[in-house]
Amino acid sequence: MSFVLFLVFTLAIPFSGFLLLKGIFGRSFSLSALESFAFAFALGIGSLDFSMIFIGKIGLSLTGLMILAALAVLPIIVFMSRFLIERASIGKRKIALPKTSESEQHRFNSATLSLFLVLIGLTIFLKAIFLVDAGLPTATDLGHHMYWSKMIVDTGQLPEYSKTEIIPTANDHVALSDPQPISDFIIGEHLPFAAIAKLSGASFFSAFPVSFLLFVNIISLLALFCFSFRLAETLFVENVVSPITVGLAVLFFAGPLFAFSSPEAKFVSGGVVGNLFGNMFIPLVLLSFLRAYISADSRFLALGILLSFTLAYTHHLSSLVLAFILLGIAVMVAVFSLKHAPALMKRVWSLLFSPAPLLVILFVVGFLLLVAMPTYIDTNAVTTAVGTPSKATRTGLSFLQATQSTGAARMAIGLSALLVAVTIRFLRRSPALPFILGWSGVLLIMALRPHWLFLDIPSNRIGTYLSFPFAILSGLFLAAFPILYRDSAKQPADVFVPGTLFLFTSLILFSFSTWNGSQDNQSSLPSPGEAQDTLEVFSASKYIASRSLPGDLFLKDHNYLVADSWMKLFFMRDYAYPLSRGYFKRYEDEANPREQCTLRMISVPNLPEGRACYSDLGVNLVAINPAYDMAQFEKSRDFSLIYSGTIIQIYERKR
Amino acid sequence: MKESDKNGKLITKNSIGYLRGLSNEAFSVVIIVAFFVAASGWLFFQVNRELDPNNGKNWWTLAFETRDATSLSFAIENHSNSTKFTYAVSNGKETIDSGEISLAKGDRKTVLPNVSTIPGRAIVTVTALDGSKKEIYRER
Repeated sequence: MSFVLFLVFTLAIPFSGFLLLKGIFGRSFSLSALESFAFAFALGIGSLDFSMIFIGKIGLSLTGLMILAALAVLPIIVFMSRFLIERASIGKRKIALPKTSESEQHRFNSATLSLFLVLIGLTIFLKAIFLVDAGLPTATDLGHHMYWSKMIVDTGQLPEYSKTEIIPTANDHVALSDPQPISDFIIGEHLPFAAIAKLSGASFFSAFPVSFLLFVNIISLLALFCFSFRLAETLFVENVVSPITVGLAVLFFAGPLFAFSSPEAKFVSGGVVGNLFGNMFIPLVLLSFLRAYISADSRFLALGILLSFTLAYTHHLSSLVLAFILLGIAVMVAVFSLKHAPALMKRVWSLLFSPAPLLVILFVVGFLLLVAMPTYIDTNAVTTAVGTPSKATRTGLSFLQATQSTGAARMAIGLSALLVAVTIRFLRRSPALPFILGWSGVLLIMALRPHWLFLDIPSNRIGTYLSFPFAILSGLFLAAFPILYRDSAKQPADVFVPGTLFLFTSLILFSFSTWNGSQDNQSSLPSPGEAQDTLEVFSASKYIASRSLPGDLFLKDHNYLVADSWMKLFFMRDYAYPLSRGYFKRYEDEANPREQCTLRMISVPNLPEGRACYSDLGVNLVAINPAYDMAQFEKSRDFSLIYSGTIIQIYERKR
Repeated sequence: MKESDKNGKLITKNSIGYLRGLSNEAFSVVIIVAFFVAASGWLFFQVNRELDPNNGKNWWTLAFETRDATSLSFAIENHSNSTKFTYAVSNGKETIDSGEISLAKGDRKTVLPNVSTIPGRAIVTVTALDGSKKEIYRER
């Protein structure tokens, strides 16, 4: 039953977003069905987030009824307002509604529709194969995120992002601090999960979080397809390459070939929530701005601003990446349009100062000032992301690392496309070219040479954003390959008869891409068999949570226990409860020195430094994996072994 | 099949059953949703099965029933294929109480051993029919 309700409320999000979309575009709806679906889901997420934040901020409880209202009320108001305004204006002035243009459809015929469905079906099937083995609620990041979502469900309030920390006090002692604000989490990452869990009754310990992220991932692929289609529509002079061919080629590179790689199924199972949302919003924002720029339609600009604003409340890194991409595109547009600068400025000016973008900007400013700012504005997240790289992991990837992150085929073919894009004549007149050049170019700089842009963020995280623009470049190259061999742009692609060289090169390209993509998939397949270990950890957590005593302080190990980040969902006491012995290397990081007590209390509980930590903090319960850490507890007279499983034991320290 | 829309434009429509009349692109949205529903259903089914402690699993746990330091009552939670367990309560040198417990897969049983206070380390050892052994103890 919870599965059916999960589906109902997940699919209700694009439905509510569709009402908003109709509200923005009115009867002169200029979006294709696939674009509508992708935009509707993203807008639905935005509407749900802002409504829930508003409800929480005015002091109302986020009950099921309130969340239902958050899902429905704003879209209905916007839709009805538009409907009434249009009806009134048609009645008074008898204006003719603009007709839907032919280019608004993706013009699928039976063959391309079949190919599209095969590609998308294969992609979803491959991801599902990956996720049935990796979909258990064990991933560390997902556990962290679901803690906050569960807190919203349990308390009916917006969460305060804070946690207690172990801090040094006088004379080499330590103590637990009061809750300190944390900047790693943003409300938009948690509200959709909380809403669906509350409405459907689905447990966080089920497939629902991963299924929802799979849906986000599918929408991001559709966004990429739609962006590629619109790009190709204006990119090639005299339609020498069919836009639908480009869209399908891009889907081939972004979908089945690297279905398991890091920004894809691995991020879905790993619960890298912010990046997945970011990878959905970024192409949709760029698609909005592209369509606004190409068709001079200010409603798309309004849509783009609204989606950018939603992203700002969802993921700070993606927002930063988007800001740099837009900057890169603006620079490229300026370079490409130097001769027509006054006309360009006039166009941008008239787009910006139109009713729809102004209304959205008014909403954005009002929400920022009167309701809530993104939490990372208050904390130090912004200042820590900008500046000279502070660690070796932030000084940029090597070209080899960037290639591994993006996929060798996508990187090789994409770079070829970049070279070709600036040389061949079929592209020179296109106003869309700066969009893909700016997108891929700025991300390459951010990943390979971050100090050029004064960025201080982990380079491998930036690297994961490269896969989308390089999938587009690879798709463009594959689809546009025939025209490199042609003398005249007027020769239509459909009747082009390939020569031996073309056929041979195409086969090599296709085989290389398929081999490289499937090799990446094969190396990423998860190893099954964690289920029993996970159940033991959950069972032990339930045991101790149901026998909790006042004054208990629990410590667990992160190195050798599976699904340990999910243990906090059984207690819901604090984000940092139970305390955790983190990865060993973190205790040796000189650039970021951290407390040593969580390490000492498990590794050397009987030495003076370990005992001092116990007495300073008052920790009395410890969960470890007996295969690695049993010996030091067994020989101590201070600990009782109160719970014994195969991969987890819980010790209680005498007070 | 091809039809003209209200503006006179030719659009391709599919001709499958209830979805007859949808444009090919709208039809593709319906199919994508169907793919997602199928993948999601598969995921829910598989994860539910894996989170079932008894389905295809073989594990059991031993724990003190309460946090009360004076109590030696203990519980066995059985998700293994063994249905018979033996227990022994000792002070590390001699066995003070022992017995047998029958426990079906999926069941949990609490045992109150017949012992008075044991000074030092009081150990409860449980052995399953398949030979696997677990131990818990209280230090006093």
